[in-house]
Amino acid sequence: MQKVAIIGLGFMGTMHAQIYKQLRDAALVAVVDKQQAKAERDLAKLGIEAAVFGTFEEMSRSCKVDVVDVCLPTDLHAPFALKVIAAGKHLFCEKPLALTKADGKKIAAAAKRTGVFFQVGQCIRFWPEYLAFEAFVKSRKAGKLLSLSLQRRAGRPAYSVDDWLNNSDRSGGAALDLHIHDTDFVHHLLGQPDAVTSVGTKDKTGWSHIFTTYHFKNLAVTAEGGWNYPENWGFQMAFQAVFERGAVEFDSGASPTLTVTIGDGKKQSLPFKTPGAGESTTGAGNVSSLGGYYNELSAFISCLQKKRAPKVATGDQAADSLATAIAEIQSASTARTVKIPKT
Amino acid sequence: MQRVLLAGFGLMGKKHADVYPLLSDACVVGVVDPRGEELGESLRASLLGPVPVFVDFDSAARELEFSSVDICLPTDLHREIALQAFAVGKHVFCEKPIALNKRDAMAMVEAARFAGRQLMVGHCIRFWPEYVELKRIVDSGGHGRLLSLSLGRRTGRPGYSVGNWVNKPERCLGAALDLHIHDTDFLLHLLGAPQAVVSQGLCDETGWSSIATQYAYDGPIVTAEGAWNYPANWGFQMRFSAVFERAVLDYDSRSGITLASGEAEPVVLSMPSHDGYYHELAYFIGCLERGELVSISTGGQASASLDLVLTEIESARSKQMISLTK
Repeated sequence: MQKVAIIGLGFMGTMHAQIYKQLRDAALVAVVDKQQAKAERDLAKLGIEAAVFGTFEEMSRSCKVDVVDVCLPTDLHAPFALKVIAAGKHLFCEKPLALTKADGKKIAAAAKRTGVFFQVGQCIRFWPEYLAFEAFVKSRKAGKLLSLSLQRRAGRPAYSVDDWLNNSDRSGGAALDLHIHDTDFVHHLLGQPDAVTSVGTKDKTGWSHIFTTYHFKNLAVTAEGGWNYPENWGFQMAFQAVFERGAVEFDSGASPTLTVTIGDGKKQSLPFKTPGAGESTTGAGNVSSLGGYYNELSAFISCLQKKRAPKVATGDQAADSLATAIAEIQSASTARTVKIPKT
Repeated sequence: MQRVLLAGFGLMGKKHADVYPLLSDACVVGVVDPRGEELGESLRASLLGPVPVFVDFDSAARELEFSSVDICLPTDLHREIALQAFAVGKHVFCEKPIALNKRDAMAMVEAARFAGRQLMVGHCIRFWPEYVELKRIVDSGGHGRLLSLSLGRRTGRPGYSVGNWVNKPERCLGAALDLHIHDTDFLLHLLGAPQAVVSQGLCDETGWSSIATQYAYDGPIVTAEGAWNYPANWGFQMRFSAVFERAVLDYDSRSGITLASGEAEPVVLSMPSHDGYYHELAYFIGCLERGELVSISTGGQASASLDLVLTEIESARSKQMISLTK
């Protein structure tokens, strides 16, 4: 049984709290949040019993935990992740890993040095439709993958504590907070690109919309991410993949969401496995399905139980995709193609 | 009344044949197609009624009276027949893309000027209702500045062309020039020339079957993707998503056009029933009837679109960003 403490009970913290409640091998024993009273009320609403503390230090003194799950605003990831590692606890840290390449590398290196297990919340690597797509690519049922376009679009996030998501200094804007999901998935599926060319829209909240061309040897890959859509526009994640003998298409707003067309065959739905994790009851954020979040935490806890280091969404992988997302921002700022150094 | 000679009775020729009977000021007086009488049944099944068929332009010109030629032949044949038409003083409506290379396009534009006749090119997206609406909203500024625009055009491999010319790179240059040029041309119409392009694509035995381009503008961020390497039964999609300061206009040919503005729920916009093929020909015939110069989708504009697509192909080939500022 893994005893878990969550730091930061905002949108993502409450998502995770609901998942730990369902995981057999994990128990949420503590929550750290500067708004202690609100956190206590939110936990009560979810029917979760856990001790609430105002600071990490108080929690550490009073509780024995195995794992700390950092769900704080991005600017607080580096200081808290390093504290958790220094305390010798296993670490789950929300995405993006950090706001700078240096901080990303520092966290990944510290975890390695200390030997704690570490996973980053790059949940799209665990998202049911993306998992099914990844398996389809590997099966080569339609031959080699030729091209891939990915999109992620949403209204402005209105649900974050102190509105930190709309503060570029704290979140890195849509480019680092939203679009990085696709940057990271491109890394996961295809490896590091050789270079990136991006253009973006910048406003008072930072890079609010970005288009990127990922340069690979024999593949055409593009992605788009923006959260400058009107409030009621909703949320969409989507991709289109063309193979030598087929195509796979995903659209979170379509029914069915995931389809495949092979050779001269008809378009049909591509089956995918949804964990029996249900929906979030808080109503906040873009996505209410716990599916991908459930899968990532379940995988992490299972690694801890088996005393094996996580292999998917590791610190190094997250530091690499962060570096590419930052290169995209650099490309958009300079109107030049930016090379990605191989790691 | 404009008397039209329709040159080429393939997919696009048939589409145009369905439009002319709806126009009160035009009639098709004959068809030129190298297949001649073989057309028989498909011609009789069309709305044209009994019209004579010729295997070449010269024999049609000897026997018929007409004021304009509508060229719906494969791209590599555009130049020759356009020059023949201008030589005998006819106006020309020519399918897109205007030609396969800059030299042929310039020859056509020059021949029109020398003959004092009109040359319009079938960049129908400039006339397609949803795209007309997008331009209207951009020009009006009613929802604030345009911040970003992404355009897409996806389909299965074309299996309909006579002699499979569309899949032969030396006759068509692939999806980049035959399909994606619709969006390139529309961007020039909407935003003018970009400062630079960076493209990537896939080149196979049929030419550039897929291309995705970022266009650098001083203002909105713009990307467009065109591909016809989808499976046969995948279907067809054209789409765009335009983000303005205070609204988003989304179009997908599979689901329609919606406008989301401010805090209101997104609304589905209703569009006129006729498509761009109707509106482009109605505009061309209208200009001829009124003796006005064509100003939308002229030969010169189509040459610029061709030029830009060729630059995109060069960018995809060289994997370099190409600057267009002088």
